[in-house]
Amino acid sequence: MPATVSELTKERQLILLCSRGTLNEEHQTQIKELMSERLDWKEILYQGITHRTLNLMYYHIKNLELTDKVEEEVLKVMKTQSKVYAIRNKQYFEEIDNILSKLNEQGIRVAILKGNFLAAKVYPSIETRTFNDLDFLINIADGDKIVEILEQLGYVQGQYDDATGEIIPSSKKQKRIHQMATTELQEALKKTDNPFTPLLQVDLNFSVLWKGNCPCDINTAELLERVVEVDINGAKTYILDYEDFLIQLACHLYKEAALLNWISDLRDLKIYKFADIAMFVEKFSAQIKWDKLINFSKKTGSDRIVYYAFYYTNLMYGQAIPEDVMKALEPEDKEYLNEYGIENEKPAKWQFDFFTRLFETTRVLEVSEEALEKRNQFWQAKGN
Amino acid sequence: MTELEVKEKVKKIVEKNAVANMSEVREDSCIKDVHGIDSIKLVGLVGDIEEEFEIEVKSTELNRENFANVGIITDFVMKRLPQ
Repeated sequence: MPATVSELTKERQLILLCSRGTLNEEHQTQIKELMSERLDWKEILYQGITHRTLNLMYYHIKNLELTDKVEEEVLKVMKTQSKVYAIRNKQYFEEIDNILSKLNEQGIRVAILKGNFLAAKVYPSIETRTFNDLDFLINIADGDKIVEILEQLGYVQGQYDDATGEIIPSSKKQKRIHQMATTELQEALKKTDNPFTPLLQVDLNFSVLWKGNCPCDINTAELLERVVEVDINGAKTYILDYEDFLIQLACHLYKEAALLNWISDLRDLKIYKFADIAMFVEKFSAQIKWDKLINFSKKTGSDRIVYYAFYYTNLMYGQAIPEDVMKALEPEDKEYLNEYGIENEKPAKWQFDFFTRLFETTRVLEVSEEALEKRNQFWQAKGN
Repeated sequence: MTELEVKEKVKKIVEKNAVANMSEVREDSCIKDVHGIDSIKLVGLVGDIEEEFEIEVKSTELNRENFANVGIITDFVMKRLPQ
């Protein structure tokens, strides 16, 4: 049972090293050493795809002039996927400009969350952070107006039918169930002629938290009051301030790591979510006011959640988060670091260590059907 | 419609949607904790309220604060009924 990165297989060490945004000399030497040996590229390819770090790995391998060490057919996949995501992300950035200019005209302020900003400003190149939708944090009071603007731009609130390639508009009841059971409005979808981005999706989050035994309370209006203006490819947009951005990343990571809905679909533990935090901290170390982050997370009761995300980020990337910050956030009881199914009255405890959970898809076999009852009820109700 | 009449109708709707303690619905009993009306069932209850009183609940009004118990739901409905 590996407890540290150095105990992992060569392939998994390489995956983690190449999920960093910047590589120091030591990292570069380690990558070169690992790649001088025979490697199981099928393992690397799968882990790179499932953890969404393949494009970043290709970026580093190319810069380190190590492409000749990669099996030719695997290299082709890396190259092709990187090109596709460069096109996809560029189209999404253009769409941000379209949507934000309409929202700005109406005086509606939304904050761009996670990957959309990180791909533009934090990751080393546009294609190295993949994402599948635009994520906005909105004030629920603006929800109807925002949906109206999106509809004017051709969006439909509904679900995509893979079999027919059509968007099925959601009924009023389905939209309400989505709103009541999650912290998002029903997603807005739009078809395009671009074969690499056939469907654009906008997620409208009205909270950075989740429903179902959420132990903290973060007021969205307060977050939106102190947003920071940023330019994304020429578009005037806003992001949460640096401390809030980090807290949101941590809450999102914890929610998906510990709620059954994500675990059962194997969307829970993904390296890119930890890499997001490590890279954001590295990039904005001069701007982040750690005291402010600690105080706000304690005030809102999110300190344990933030600690969870920081703890595992450090386990993967060394001391990404300063030691004194970890000390200030450290809870007395750390049992919850190995718990999941937090929406149920009694959370379950993982039988595997963190790295086994991270890399082995069989973790999902631990989850019982009984534990999934609430999640199944939601999808059943939405289908009606 | 008087407040008392509204309250009686709201109580019946809560009883219909409740999954626990159906016969013990009171003005201040929590529809979530006491009567087991979770978020999915709440959507059905809101639909019943709209149909019964011919009002429309906006998405911004769709929250637990407005639909906590019979008394609060009655206040919510009374404010939206034509005078």
